[in-house]
Amino acid sequence: MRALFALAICIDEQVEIMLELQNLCRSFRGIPAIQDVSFKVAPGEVVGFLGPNGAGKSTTVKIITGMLRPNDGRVLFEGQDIYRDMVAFRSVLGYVPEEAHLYNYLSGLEYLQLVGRLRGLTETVIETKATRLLKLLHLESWQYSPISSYSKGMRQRVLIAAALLHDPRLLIFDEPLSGLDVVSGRLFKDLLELLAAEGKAVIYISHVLEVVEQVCNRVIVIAKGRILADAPPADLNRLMSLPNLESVFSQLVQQQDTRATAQEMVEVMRIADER
Amino acid sequence: MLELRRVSKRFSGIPAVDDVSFCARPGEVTGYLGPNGSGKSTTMKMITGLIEMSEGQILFQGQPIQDDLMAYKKRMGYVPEEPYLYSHLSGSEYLTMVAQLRGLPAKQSSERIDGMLRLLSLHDDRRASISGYSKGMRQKILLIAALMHNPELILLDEPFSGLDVGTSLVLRSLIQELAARGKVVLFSSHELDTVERVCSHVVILHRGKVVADDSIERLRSLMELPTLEAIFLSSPSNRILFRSLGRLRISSMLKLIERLAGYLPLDFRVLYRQFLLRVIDLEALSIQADVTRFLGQFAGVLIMISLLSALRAFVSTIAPPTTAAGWLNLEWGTEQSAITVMMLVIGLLTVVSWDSTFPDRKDVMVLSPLPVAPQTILFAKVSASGALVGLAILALNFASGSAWSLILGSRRGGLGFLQLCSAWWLTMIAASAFLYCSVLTVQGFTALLFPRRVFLRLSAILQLAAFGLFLGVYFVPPSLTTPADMAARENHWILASSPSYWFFALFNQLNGSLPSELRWLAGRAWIGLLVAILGAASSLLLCYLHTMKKTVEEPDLVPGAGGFHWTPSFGNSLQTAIALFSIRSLTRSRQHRVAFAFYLAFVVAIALSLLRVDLTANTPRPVTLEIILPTFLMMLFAVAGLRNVFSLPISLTANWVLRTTQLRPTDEYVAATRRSLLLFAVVPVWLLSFALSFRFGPVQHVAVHLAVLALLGWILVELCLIGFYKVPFTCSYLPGKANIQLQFWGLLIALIAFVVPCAEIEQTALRDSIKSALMLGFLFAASCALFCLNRYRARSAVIYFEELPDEVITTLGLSA
Repeated sequence: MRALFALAICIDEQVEIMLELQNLCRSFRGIPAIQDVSFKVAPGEVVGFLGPNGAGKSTTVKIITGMLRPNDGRVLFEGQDIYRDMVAFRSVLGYVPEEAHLYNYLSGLEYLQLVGRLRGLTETVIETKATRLLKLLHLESWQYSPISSYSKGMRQRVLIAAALLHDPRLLIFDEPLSGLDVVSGRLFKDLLELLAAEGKAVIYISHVLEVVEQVCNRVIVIAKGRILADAPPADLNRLMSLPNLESVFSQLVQQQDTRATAQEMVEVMRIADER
Repeated sequence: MLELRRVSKRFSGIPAVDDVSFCARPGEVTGYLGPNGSGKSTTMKMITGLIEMSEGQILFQGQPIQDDLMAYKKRMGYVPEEPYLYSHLSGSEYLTMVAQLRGLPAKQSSERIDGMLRLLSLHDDRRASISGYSKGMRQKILLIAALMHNPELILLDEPFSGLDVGTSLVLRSLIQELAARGKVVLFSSHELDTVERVCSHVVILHRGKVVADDSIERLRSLMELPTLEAIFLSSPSNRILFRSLGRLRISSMLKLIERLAGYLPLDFRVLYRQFLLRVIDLEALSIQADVTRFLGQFAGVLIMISLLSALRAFVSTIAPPTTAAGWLNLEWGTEQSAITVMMLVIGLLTVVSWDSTFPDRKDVMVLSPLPVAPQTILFAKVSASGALVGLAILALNFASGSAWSLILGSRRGGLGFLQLCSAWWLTMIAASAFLYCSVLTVQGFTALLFPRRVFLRLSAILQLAAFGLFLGVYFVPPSLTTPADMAARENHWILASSPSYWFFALFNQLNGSLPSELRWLAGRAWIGLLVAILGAASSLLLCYLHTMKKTVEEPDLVPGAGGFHWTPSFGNSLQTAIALFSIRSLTRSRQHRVAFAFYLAFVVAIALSLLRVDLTANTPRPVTLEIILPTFLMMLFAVAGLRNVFSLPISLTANWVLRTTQLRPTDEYVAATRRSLLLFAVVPVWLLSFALSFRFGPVQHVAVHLAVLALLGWILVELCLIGFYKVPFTCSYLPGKANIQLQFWGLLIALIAFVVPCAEIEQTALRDSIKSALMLGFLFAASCALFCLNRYRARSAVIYFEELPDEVITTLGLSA
C-alpha cells in the first residue's frame, strides 16, 4: 500500500499518462448522461471510480472501451486518440464488466479459448494460459461444465481470466468482487497490487467503499454526469474532515437519510395489520 | 427463535453439513459465514424447507418446521442468492403473483408493494419486464417479495451483492430495524465488513461444521485479532465456543390443517395462468413478448385449416360421387386425412411445449419458498397443458367436423348425423390424448431413469427426433383409402404400426361402420389409449414425488467430464473461433436447434423419398429430374435454412466480448462465415447426395451432376453472404422487421421456382458433353464472380451488431 501511495505522489511530477479523458460529453435523446468528464490514469496506478447508479459511470466506461461514441471530447491512449487505431487500443485493453453476460452454453475453457482466438493468440499459448489461469482461480474441476451452471462468483472469475489472457496494459474492472468469496476476494486484491506494480493502469469501479479505500491510489467520484472529486482517499477524508470514505461519499452525493428510509420501510410492511 | 439441532445432510454418503447446531434469536442479527463448499447454501436450503435433512431438527418458535411446512413458509421470508424469477413477467406482475400465492388481501398487498417499490427506487421500472433488470434490481424485487407479508423470520443469502451504495446502506439500516422490531434475521454474506457492522452474532461454518458461534466482540477478543477477516482466515479447525441451546419448548399444539375455502382455488388459478403462458417453449420459438398473441395466431392458423376443409366438404356436394364405392372412398379419405392432420398438429404442439408439464428447476426454486403445495403445481401444470391441447382440438375441428358430419352423415338420416358427429369428436380427443400421453410417458420415464445431466441432453435429442418423426410420418407413408388396399397383405404392416390407422378404425367402430376384418385395429387403438393414459399418469405422479426433490437436492454444479476435446482447425484463429462458435451455438441453443431442425426436416424428407426410389430400383436409373431436382432442393433448403438460423440472435447481452475483440478486418469475419456455411450446410448435403446417387448411372453423368451440385452450393453461399456483415447469431433486428420470416419465405419460394427450370436445363445439358462443359464453366465463373464481389465489398464494410435505422429516419428524429 505504501509503495502505491509513493507512486501516486510521483504522478504529480511529469510521468507519462497512459489514459486520458478530455472533456467527454454524451447525451441520450437530449438528456445529458455525462458532461465534461476528464481525468488521467498513469501506468502503475489503481484509480477508483465511484458514483451512485445513474451517475454516468457505465456511460463513461462504455466510451472508454469504444462501444459508445462521445458527442464531444476525446479519449487518448498514450497521447493518441483511440479512434485513430481502435484495433491497437482494443488489443491492449482488458475489461471485466459488472453484469457477467457470457455465452451460457459454452464451458469455461471453451469461452476462454474463444476469447483467446478472437484476440489472435496461438493455440498452444491459449491452451497453456487458459488452463493455468483456470487452475489458479480454482475453476479447474469445472472448466468443462457449461457456464450456465456456474455461480455468480465463478462467472466473475472466468471474466477476470478472459481479461488477463492477452496481457493487457490497461484494465477496467467493474464491481469485480461481487460474488467472490473471501479467499478469491483476497486473491484479487493481491493481484491488483501486483498488476499495478507491473506498470499496468487499472480503473476500478466498485460500490464496496471499504475495499476502494484499501486498494486505490486515487478516487474519482462522479454524480449526475459530472466529476465531483479526484484525489487520493486519505486526502479526501482529510479535506472533508470525515472519518471514512463512506461518509465522504454520502456527503458528496447527497444520500438520502437511510435510517429514516429504513424505518419507513418497516412501517410500510406493517400496513393494515392493525386495521 | 430459529434453532438448528444437530442438523446433518448427506449426499450419497458424503456429509455436506455435519452436526450443525446454532440459534438465531429475535432482536439479533445473526451472520452466517463460510467459504465455498462449507455447507452454507445447503444449510440455507434446509432452513428454508427446500430440502430435507438427513438427521437433526430445525425448530422455529419451538416447533419443528417439518411438522407444518406450509405454516412455516407463511411466516418466513427468503431472499435467495441467485435471483430465480419468472423473467417474462414485469416487476409489479411478479410481486402481485407472489402476493396472491401468499393469500394476502389485494388492496393491502398492493399498497405495500407500491410503498416498497418507491422506497427502493424501483417504482418507475415496475412495469418493465424482469428480463431487462440488472442484478441489483432483481435483488430488490426479491427483497420486496420476501418482506411483503411481514414475516417473523427473515433469511437473506448474499443480499448485498449487486446493490449500489445507496441501497446497500438502506438495506443495512433495514436489517437493523427489523431486528429491533423483534424479528429473527439470519443472513449470509461474503462482505465481512458489512457483517461486522450489522451483525451482533456470527456463526462460521467450515467444511460442514460450525467452528464459531458467538457475538462479534467476544470472537475478536478471544482470538485477539483485529478484524473478522483475520479471524476467518486463521485456520478455524477447532470449535471455539459452543453456546448452549435454548431450552426445548415442548409444544402440545395440535397441527392446524385449516385452509380457507378461497385459498386453494386462488393458488391454483394464479399458477394455472402462469403455466399456461409458459407452456410454450419460449426459448425454442424465441417469443419475447406476447404469448397470448402467439396462441391467438396459432389458433387462427388451425381455424383456417378447419375452414378450408369445411370448404372442401361443401365443394364436394357440387359433384358428389355417384357410386357407393365412391362415397366410401371419399369418407375414408376425409376421415384419414382429418386424423393424420390432428395428430400432426398435436405432435408439433408437444415438440413446441416439450417438457413443460414437468417442473423444471426454475419452477422449483421460485415456488418452493412459497406456501404452495406440490399437488397444486401438478394440477395447474396438467390443466395448462390440457387447455392448450383442448384449444387445438377445438380450433382444428369445429368447422371441418360439423361440415363433414353434415355431408357424410346426412346420407344416414338424423341419427346417423349425430352418431358421426360424436364419433368424429371422440376420435379426435382419443387420438390427441393418445399422442400427448405417450409423449408425456416417454418424457417422464427418461427423467426418472437417467441422472439429470444425461436427461437434459437426451431430452434435447428426443425433442428433435420427435419433430422429425412427426413430420416424416405425415409426409412419407402412402395413404390407403379403399377396402381392397386395407385388406391387402403387403399393407398389413403399415396398418399395424400406424396409430392414425388405429384411430381411423376406432372412428368407424364408434360410427358403426367398421368392417369386421379391421376390428383388430380398433382394439389396438383402445389398448394404446389406455396404456398411454396410464403411463402418463404414473410418470407424472412419480416425477412430482421423486424428481422435484432430486432437482433441489442436486448440487448446483457437477464437475464436467473432460473427455474428447479435439478442436479442429478451420484456418486461422479467427475462423476457428467463429466456426466453433457457430456450431456450438447452433447445437446448444434450443431455439436454434428447433429452427434449424425445421429446415433439416425438409432435407430429410426429400432424402427419404429419394431413398425409397433407390431401394426399389433394380437397374441403374438414368440421371433425370428424378434425382437432379431433389438434390438441388436439398441444397437450397440446407443453405437457406442455415443462413436464416444465423440471423437469429442468441445471448445478445454477451456480445460485448465480440465487440471489444474486433481486431481483424471485416472480410476475415465474412470469410469465417463462408467457411461455416460451406462446412455445415453444403458439404453434408453434397455427401448425402453422393451416397444417394449410387443407383444412378452412367458414371459420367453422375459426376457432372455432383460437380454442378457443389458449384450450386457455393453460389448459394455467396448469395447468402451478400450484405451479411455480422457474426452469426449476434445481430438483433429492428422491432419493425418482425416480418423478416415472411420475406425469407417469399424469397425461398421464388428461388424454388427458379431452380426447377435450371434442373431441366441441366437434364438436357447432360446428354451432350460439350454442353456439360459449358454449363460447368459458366457456373464456376458465376461463383468466382460472386466470391470476388463479396470480398471486395467486405473490405470496406463495418461489422454491425444491431440493425441500425436508416439515415433518413435518424435525421428526422423519428427514431428518438
